[in-house]
Amino acid sequence: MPEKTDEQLAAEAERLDAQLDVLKPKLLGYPNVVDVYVGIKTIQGYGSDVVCFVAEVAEKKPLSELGSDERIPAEIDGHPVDVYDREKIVIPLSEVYCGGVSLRSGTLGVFALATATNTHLETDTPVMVTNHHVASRIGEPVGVGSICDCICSHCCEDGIIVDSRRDASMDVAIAKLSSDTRYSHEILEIGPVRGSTAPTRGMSVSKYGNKTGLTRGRIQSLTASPSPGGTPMNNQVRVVPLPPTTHVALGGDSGSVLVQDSTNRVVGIIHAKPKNGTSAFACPIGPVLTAMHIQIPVTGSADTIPLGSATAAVRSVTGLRESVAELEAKLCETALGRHWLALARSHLDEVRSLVNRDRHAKVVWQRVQGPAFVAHWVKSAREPDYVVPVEIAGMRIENALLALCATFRERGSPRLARDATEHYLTVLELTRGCRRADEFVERVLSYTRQHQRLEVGHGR
Amino acid sequence: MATIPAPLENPPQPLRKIEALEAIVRSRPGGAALLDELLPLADEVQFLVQRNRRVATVWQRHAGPAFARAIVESGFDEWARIPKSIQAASLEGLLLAMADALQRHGSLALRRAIADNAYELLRCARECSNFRELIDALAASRSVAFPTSAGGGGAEADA
Repeated sequence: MPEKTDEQLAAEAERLDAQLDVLKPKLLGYPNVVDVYVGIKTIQGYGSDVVCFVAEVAEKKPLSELGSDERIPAEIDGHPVDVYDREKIVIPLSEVYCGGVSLRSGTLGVFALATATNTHLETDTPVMVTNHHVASRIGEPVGVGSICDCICSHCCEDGIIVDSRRDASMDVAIAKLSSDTRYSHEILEIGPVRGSTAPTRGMSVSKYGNKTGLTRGRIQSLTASPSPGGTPMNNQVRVVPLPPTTHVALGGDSGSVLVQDSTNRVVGIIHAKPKNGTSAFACPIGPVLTAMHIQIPVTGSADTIPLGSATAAVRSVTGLRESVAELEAKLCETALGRHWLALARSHLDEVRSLVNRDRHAKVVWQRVQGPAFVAHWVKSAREPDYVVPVEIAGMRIENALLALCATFRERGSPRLARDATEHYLTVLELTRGCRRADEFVERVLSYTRQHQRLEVGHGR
Repeated sequence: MATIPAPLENPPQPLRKIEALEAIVRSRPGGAALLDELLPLADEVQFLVQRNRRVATVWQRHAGPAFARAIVESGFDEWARIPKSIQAASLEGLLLAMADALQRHGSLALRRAIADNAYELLRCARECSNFRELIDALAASRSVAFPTSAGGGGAEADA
C-alpha cells in the first residue's frame, strides 16, 4: 500500500479532531492515561502512516499486569487507539556557516533574516537560529565549531547573541553574524531551505544535527507537553523516527531544525528529547518567527554563498573534523593507536561534563586557561602555520595537563582516575614543547608506530 | 655503571641530613647542575608547604612527611628503596597533587619550573626505586629532548 502523503495524513487528523472532545473523556477514564490527542501511531518505536487517537500514559505496563477493565482498547468508535509512553524529558547536551554545523555544545539550526519589526537588528540582517539552552546570554559571543562551552577566544566570535527566549512555547535564540562571516541558507545533507511552514501531524521531516547527522522522522503530535529542565512546555511537536533512523535526535543536536521532506520548508526547532525514548521535541516554527522577528527566506539572500555551493563553505568550517577523522584513521593503523582512540572516546563525555558542570573542575579548567588552549590548538589545526603560544596568562600546557590530571583523579569516576594516572605521562611527553597541531599529530603517530614495532619485536 | 658510594659510617643528625644529601647529589654525574637549577626554588616550596594552608593540606593528605623521610633515608643507604606507596597514598599521587598545588599557589617562576621539570621528575619517580638511581636518571634526562617532526618522527613513516 503506497505511503500516504502529508496532505492526506493532515486531513485524516483533522477528521479525527472533530471527535476528540467526545472520545477524550472516555480514554482519560482509564488508569494511568495522562493525555489524549490525535496523532500518528508509533509501531515498534517508528512512526507509521496511521492516524489515531493517542492515549499518553505515565508509564506503559505489560498487558499481563493490567486487569481487563484497565486495558486501553485498540479501537474506539471504529478509530485506532495508540498507547504512548510519556517520556522523562532531558535537555540534550549540546556543540557552526550553514545549518547543521556545531554551535557551542549544540547545533546551528538555520540562517534566518531579521524582519522590519525586529528592534534589535536592521531588516534582512542574517542571524543564526538555535536553542536558548545552547546560547542563552544576550550579548555573549558564539562561535563556529567552538568545542567548549566557554567564551574565551577568537573561535567563539562568529556572532553575538541578540535575543533568546525560553518559555512554555519555545526554546530559541538568535545571534547576529560577525561582518566577515560567510554563510548559506542551506542545511548539511538537506540542501537549501525554502522558507517555513506550519507542521502538521503525519508530516515526514528531516533534520541535520551536530551529533546524529541526518535523521528522518514523522510528526506524531502537535500538542506534546514536555518539561525539559523542569520548564513545562505545551503545544510542542513530537517527532518519532522513520526507518532507518533509530533516534531522531541526541544530545548535541539541540537547535537543529526540522525540515519538511517534500518542500524543504522549516517547520520546527528541536530542543529536547525523552530520557529513554527515540523521539524528539521541537517548538513549531511559526511562533518562533513571530517572537524573534525573523523570517526564513524562500530563496537565497544578498551576500550569501549561492545556493547549491554550500559544500565548499562547509568544508572550511568542518576542516577540523576532517583533520580529526584523518588522525583517527591513522591511529587505527596500530593496536596502541586504536587503544588510545577507544580510551579517548570512552572518557570524552565525562571529561566534557566535568569541565562544564562540576564546579571544582570548571574552576580548574578556567584557571589553567583550558578554553584558550583548546582554541589555540583548534586554530593551529585549521591553520597549519599557526603556532600555539608557549604560555597563556602565565600558564603553560604542561601546567594545564598536570592540573587536569590531578582534578580527574580527584573528581572523576574511578575509571577516569585510573586511566588519567596511567596515561598522563605519555600525554605530557607528547605535548611538552609542542606548539603546532600537525607536529603533535606526527608525534602521536610516531609514538604509536614505535610502540607497535617494539611489540612486534617482543613477539618474535 | 657508576660506582655507588658506601653508606656513611656516622649518619648525620636530622638537621644536617639535607646538607649531607646535597653532598651526595653533587657527587653524582650531572648532580651539581641539577641542584643549581632546583635549589633556588626550594625555599619557596618549603615556605608554601609550611605556611600555605592549602598546600600544607595536600602535603599531609598524600603522606608527604612520610615520603620525605623515606626519600632522605634512602639517600644514605644504597639498598633502601623509595616506597611507591605509604598506606593508601602513592608517591606519584603525592607528586602530582603537589605539582598542582604548588603551581596554583606559588610564584610564576615556580610554575614555570614545574612546567619544565614535572615530566622528568614524575617519570623518574615512576621508574626509579632508590634515591641515587633517581638522581642519576633526573640528571641524565635533562640532556634528552623529544625528537621533532623534522627528525625522528618523519623517519618513522616508511617502517
